[in-house]
Amino acid sequence: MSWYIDTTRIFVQDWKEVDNQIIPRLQPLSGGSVTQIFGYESPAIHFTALVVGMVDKEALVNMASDGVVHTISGPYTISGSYYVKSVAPTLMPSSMQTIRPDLDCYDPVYTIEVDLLE
Amino acid sequence: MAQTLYASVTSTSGIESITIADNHTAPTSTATVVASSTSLGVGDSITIRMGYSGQSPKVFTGYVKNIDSKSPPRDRTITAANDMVRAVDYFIAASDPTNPLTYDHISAEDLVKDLMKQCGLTKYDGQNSNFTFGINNEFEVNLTSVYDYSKFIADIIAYSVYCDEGGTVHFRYRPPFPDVSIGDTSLTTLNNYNILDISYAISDKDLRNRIVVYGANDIHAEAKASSPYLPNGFYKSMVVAAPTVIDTQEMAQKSADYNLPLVNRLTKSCQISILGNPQVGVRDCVTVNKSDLGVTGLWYVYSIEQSFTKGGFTTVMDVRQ
Repeated sequence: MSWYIDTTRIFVQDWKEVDNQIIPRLQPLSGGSVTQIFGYESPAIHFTALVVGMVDKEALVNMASDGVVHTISGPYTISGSYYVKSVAPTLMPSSMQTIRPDLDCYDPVYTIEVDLLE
Repeated sequence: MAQTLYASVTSTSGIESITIADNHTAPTSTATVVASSTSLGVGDSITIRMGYSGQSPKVFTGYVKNIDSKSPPRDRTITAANDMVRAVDYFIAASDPTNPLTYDHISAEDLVKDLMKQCGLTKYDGQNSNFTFGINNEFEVNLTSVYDYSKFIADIIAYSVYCDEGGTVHFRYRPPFPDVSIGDTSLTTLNNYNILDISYAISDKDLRNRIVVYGANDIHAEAKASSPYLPNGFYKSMVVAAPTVIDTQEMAQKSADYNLPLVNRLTKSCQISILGNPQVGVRDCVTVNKSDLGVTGLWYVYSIEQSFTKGGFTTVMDVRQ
């Protein structure tokens, strides 16, 4: 199954999810620390992917400024709606691409780092 | 051992922090809530429960006085005051200045009760004071707030007037130090296992060993006592000026005699931070076990700040003895 953000095709290279619980830790004058559970943060996702072509790259960049949720779908039953917090594309040195046969072989290829929040 | 924090605020969700502050002399307790969403409006009733899962008593009841909204991040800051704010906000101004509110032959507790009723505070607990005002002449109450005048009456007879977290106005003898003769007992014990930090100070800044009372016409009275903390024969004076309400020599002398023991003492105070305890409030008494600092025994909670944030739930107190 292929990876998509909305209808934009991406090729995920790595995927990291961070789940965090808010636990203040107080230290009385004697004895061990006392922990208090305040709550938890929603998961934060960071992934690196390949994107082919200026059109798809710009589509992802615009998602980091539109203030709406986007749907990500992929294998391993990964799917969900997230806000795109940040997008950092890097142009890769390449003379021709064969990743997307439906696009021009001279289209640029980008490595893109994306942060998602629920 | 981890304790799960819990807090609830009327019609509010996404609570980020709650701070509740109160002290012995403040007119009201105040609450500041920062949250992501609320349907409260100015003037609405607000109730706050705070503490731990399974132990979150009501710590505040009052009215919303101010709401700040900002972005980013998009959150709301709600400021509220307890029920006594009604007495603070209610300004007595007679429609006809020649026919103001007047009283005579009225006890201190009944006077304050009637004034509180003017602003809608009907839950009242007044202690018998044996003090009667306006014996020879009636007196006017005008151009003052209900709280200010009630505080004026309380100060004359060394009483306190305050509102508890349930909305009941109390008018009673409540000195700013522990007094076992009025039933003060320890609510909880503070020691190295729940104290986060502590400091201790002794001062004579609030010590007064001479009280002078001025009443109506030529009525005046005095009470004084030598202090072991002041040079022999040296008196730091406090004046109670109440010419409109004290019109007998007996009441003037009573006022002086009642106030002297309240202020003829050193101020021993401790600033203590502890693991959050929602049960402790101002005017409670606690036992402190810090013999290495010379801080032991029963102490009176003079001021308190309950703070509930991502940094934890802590209770910061100024206790006095």
